[in-house]
Amino acid sequence: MVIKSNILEKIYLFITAIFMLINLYLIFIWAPNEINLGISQRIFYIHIPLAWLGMVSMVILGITSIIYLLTNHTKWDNLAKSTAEIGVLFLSLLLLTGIIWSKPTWGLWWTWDAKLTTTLILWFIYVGYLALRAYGPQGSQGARYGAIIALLGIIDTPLIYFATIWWRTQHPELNIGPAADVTNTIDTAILQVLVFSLITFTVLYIFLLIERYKLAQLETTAKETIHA
Amino acid sequence: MLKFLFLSFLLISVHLISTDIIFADNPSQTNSSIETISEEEQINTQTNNGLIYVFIAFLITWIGFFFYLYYLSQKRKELEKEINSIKEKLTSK
Repeated sequence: MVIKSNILEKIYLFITAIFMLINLYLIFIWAPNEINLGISQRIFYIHIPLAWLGMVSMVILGITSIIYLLTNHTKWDNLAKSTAEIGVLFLSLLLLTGIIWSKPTWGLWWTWDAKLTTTLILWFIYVGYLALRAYGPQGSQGARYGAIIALLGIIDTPLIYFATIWWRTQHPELNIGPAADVTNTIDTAILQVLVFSLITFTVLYIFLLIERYKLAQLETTAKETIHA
Repeated sequence: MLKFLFLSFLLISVHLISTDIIFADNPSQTNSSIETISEEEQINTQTNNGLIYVFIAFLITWIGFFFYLYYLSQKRKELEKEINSIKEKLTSK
């Protein structure tokens, strides 16, 4: 059973690697240069998927935290902690790639723009959640407090998404997604690469989540063995 | 697998930065050349200016992912070792 699981894991890692390599080829060789932003626009192919998965991760964190509170099954709490850790990784990379993009485009590293600020708040929420779970009360009490923090994150997530619509911001407007302005048309080739990037990073996200979840389950097993 | 991925990324990176890069923050490199170069060359210069930022963004992202994967694999090894030692202790009792 363990051998079968390891083989499946390696196959999934191989598929992820293939997706990543194709994605790099599409981004650097196949995709055309955007007329206004030039080559720096290519950062968007990683920046947007990181943002998307950073927000999805928070939604998963909220849902799994609530399910844990209702069922009291440790696996849901492990899934919540796993998604929080990967979420903070994606969000940290999102902020870093955003900072690197804004320097050649806006001429500054950071501005207190609505979208950037709400994203930074979400990052603090993630870090707060992880700090609480690591150093705060353990067991169901810690999970309860964590769920409250996760709910704050769920409130913040739509604020990030709709920031460019609700406030006047420097950040580029929404080009894809349900709330995107239909008049903002983007080149078909750019859109195709962006969609492929979204799929690739989602595949990577699932892989990381499975790995982290397995590790969390292993930690639980170790604790249970010690207590036994 | 991880080593192969990292090497592939490094090769692509080296290929991308093998062209001449002019840094935006270095006036000695940019001001002196603007008057003499053609419009096409100016566009190329702007492209190269952005390229270094693109390279850094991708490098940081990939290092972040590799570092996290490495951290996971190390932690997993440690845990498996710990569980095995506990099991051995229990069976010896």
